[in-house]
Amino acid sequence: MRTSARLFATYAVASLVPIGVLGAVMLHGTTEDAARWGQDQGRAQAAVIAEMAVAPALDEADLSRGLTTEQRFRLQRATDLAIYNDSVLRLRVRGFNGQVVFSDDGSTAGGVSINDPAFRSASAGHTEVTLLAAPETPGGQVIRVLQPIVASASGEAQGVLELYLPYAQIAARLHEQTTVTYWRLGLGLGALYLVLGLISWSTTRSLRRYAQRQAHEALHDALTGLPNRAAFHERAREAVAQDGEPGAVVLVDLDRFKEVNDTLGHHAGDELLAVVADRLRSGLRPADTLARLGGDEFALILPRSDAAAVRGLLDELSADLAREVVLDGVPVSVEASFGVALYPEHGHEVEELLRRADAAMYHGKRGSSDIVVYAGENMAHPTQWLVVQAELRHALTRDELVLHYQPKVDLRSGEIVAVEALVRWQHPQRGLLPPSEFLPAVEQSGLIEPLTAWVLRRALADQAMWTATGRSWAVSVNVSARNLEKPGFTDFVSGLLAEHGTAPHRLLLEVTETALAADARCAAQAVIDLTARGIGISVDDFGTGYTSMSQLRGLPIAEVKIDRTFVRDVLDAPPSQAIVRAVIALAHGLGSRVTAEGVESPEVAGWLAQAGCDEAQGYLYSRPVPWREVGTYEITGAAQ
Amino acid sequence: MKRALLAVALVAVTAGCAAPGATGTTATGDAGIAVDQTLHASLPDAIRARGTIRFMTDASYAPMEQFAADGRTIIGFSPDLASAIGSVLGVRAEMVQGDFHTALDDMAAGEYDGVLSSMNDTPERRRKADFVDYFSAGTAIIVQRGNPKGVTGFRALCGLVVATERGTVQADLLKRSQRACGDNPMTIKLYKTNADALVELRTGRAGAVLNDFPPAAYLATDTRTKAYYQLASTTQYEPGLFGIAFAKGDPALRDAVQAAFDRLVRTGVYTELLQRWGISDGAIASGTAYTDS
Repeated sequence: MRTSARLFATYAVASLVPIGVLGAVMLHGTTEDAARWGQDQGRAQAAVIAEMAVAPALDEADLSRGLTTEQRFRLQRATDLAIYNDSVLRLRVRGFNGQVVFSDDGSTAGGVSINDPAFRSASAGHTEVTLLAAPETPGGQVIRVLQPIVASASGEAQGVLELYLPYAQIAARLHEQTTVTYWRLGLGLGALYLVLGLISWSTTRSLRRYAQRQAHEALHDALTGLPNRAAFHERAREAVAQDGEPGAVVLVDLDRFKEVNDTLGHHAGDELLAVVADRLRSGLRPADTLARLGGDEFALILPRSDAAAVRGLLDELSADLAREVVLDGVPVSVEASFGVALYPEHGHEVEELLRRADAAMYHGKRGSSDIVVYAGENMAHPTQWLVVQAELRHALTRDELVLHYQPKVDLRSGEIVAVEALVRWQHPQRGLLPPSEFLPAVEQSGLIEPLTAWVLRRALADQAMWTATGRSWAVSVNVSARNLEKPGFTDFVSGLLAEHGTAPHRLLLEVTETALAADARCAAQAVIDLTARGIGISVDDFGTGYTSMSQLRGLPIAEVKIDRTFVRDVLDAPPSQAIVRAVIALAHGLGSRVTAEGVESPEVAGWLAQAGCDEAQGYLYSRPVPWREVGTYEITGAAQ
Repeated sequence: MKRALLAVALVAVTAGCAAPGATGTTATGDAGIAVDQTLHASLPDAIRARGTIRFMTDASYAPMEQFAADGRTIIGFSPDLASAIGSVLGVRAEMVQGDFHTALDDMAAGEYDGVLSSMNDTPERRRKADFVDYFSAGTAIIVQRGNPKGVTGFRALCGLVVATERGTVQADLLKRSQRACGDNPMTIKLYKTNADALVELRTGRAGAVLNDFPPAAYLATDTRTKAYYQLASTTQYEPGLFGIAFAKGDPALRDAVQAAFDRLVRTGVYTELLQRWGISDGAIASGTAYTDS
């Protein structure tokens, strides 16, 4: 505001300069014009006097010889009245040699010197007009005109006419004209200045508004009107800087936003973001800050709150968000992951807090809880993923990966019927790493395809070897949703089977429920194609994901694997028992085999066998080991 | 015309001497014209001693001779020719304003060395002077623009006021034509200068003016005058030769000038000067000297 006032003042002063210069130039011009006009008046008068009074009287005269009596008489007759009336103040007729041949008062003395430049100029045919000071005359000035006398039509100059004309009347007229001109000039320039002033006022006002809008846009997100990342950082810095005030920085990420965007369009995605922004905003306290960092990522600053208060608030927000939203007539339920970093507990720097909130949030995305408070460095940090990805790329080329196999045992016969291939990373520094250490990073990158390809190749190669040694185990390989979505995956797998001369039914691809849900249409088509070629599909971690019954109905599933969380307490918890029984019934009803994961005791194995479960997998039988070691483990409690 | 004025502006001006009539101009040596020492030696002693030849002219006959805008410098074809002749002869040529009708007498009286003023070389004048011819032209009738009196030829002049310069072949021609008018005579008015005669026509006091053809054509075409004057017809009456008049009994100067003129014709200077003033129609082949002794 003050800047724009100063800008306006600067404009006003700056425009005064050209106005002033313009005024000065025009005044100067006017004055010069007036002087020239006055001289022109004198020149015109003198021309008339010379041609109409003096020249006719001097016809046939030779001024070098003086005038005849008659010529003198004619000249006096012609000029007497003008001289008497002061229309001409003084008149001299002079030869080129300076001699005064005739004068108004009869004297032959006086007159301009022949060496005067004006006289010389008049002798050379020019008319010279000069304004002279004459204190004794009214007005104080006279016009002196020196011009050649051309008395005949032939154009021959005979002498010089020296005329003095009154200036008072011309001066009065001039004064009148210049006064009018000054007024006009003054008013015109004033009006011009006023217009310039208005323009600069209006311009500065527009600029101010524009600047305000720019400032707002620089700190706010256009879609939701929320503060943007820059504004969030600013506010977070302020909040964190308040000593002794505990609070939280929270990152919020929508879980199914991409799906909405892809299936319902960007318009629906934008609408969803607006709805989410509204719900988050309405759930916050006045001191809290909500910002949109970009995409489907929001952030909160919750000042003056301890961990419990934060948890309570986020629970409410989460519940509020979970309410169904109708977008373009389609009901959508949105869930969000909240990553929480508390300050000062988890850091004093905004960047650090954000990093930790981020880590917590990704942790939550991989787990079952949607609100995760940062819990120390063991939370794999997404930024490490880049390192992991880079290393893994090398690992693939340097063959640092190995496959371990965990047997699946037929609960009726107690025989090993299949093995599940599980990838291990022989990391040069960190030793043998389980999949949980690097698969999340791989899922987020393009590496999943080469990794899956590598695993498939190796598993099929290993299978060929154990087949050669008389083992008839089928092999299960885990594939990601990304693999299924990739066009040509089915052909790729068929190709590998042909390459190794393996019958399709000896390969089982394990897919998580979540993978099936992510892009239902794509994945379902891939499942159908694979099954059509005889390759079995297994639904992994059944019961923890999002598979809907309608999806299962249309898919030819070969195997359903009951998640270990249900199996673990199946002996003690009636709900788990109910679930496991139901899953077994469901799978059998769909024509699928049922495999229980995480079987660690003979009692569980027994219960499962009784419940009708087909196969089991777990530490009871074997940990994942190199295939050569699979058979050496004693199978205990398999058969009753 | 503009180019001519420019050429004149380069010409030095003599000023302030109290000669009879008006003071005139002197053209300096034209660049590139070589002095002929033989001709210079043949000049009369007085002229060689003085270093100038004084030509009388009546500067009211554009484009042949006229006053410049300053009212004092005489410009035109004649001054340029005089200057070129002076250059060949190694002397300065000076043009002096004088009365046309007394020119030959004044020259005989020794006021000038010659007369160079678009003067026709006629048998009558040859009794008074010798001539070196330099131009050929006839007489034209000038009337007011629009020709209000309907003048088409000499017959139509009968009954009108006709003005011309005193002492010219045109004055003589008018007097001779008067006989044909019978009882409807022209009123012939003669003036000291051609300009005075033109003033009469301009103001309607005269119905026609007789001029030599070149100045008449100039009047009818020059932007400053063509609004007031036109030619009654394109006919040139009684074509004759213009000559530079010299006093009788002084063949040395006459012959030197004639030789100088011939040299100018041969070297193309003459043609260039005619072109410069737009009067190439009046060119003659050589400057025959005529004397009527």
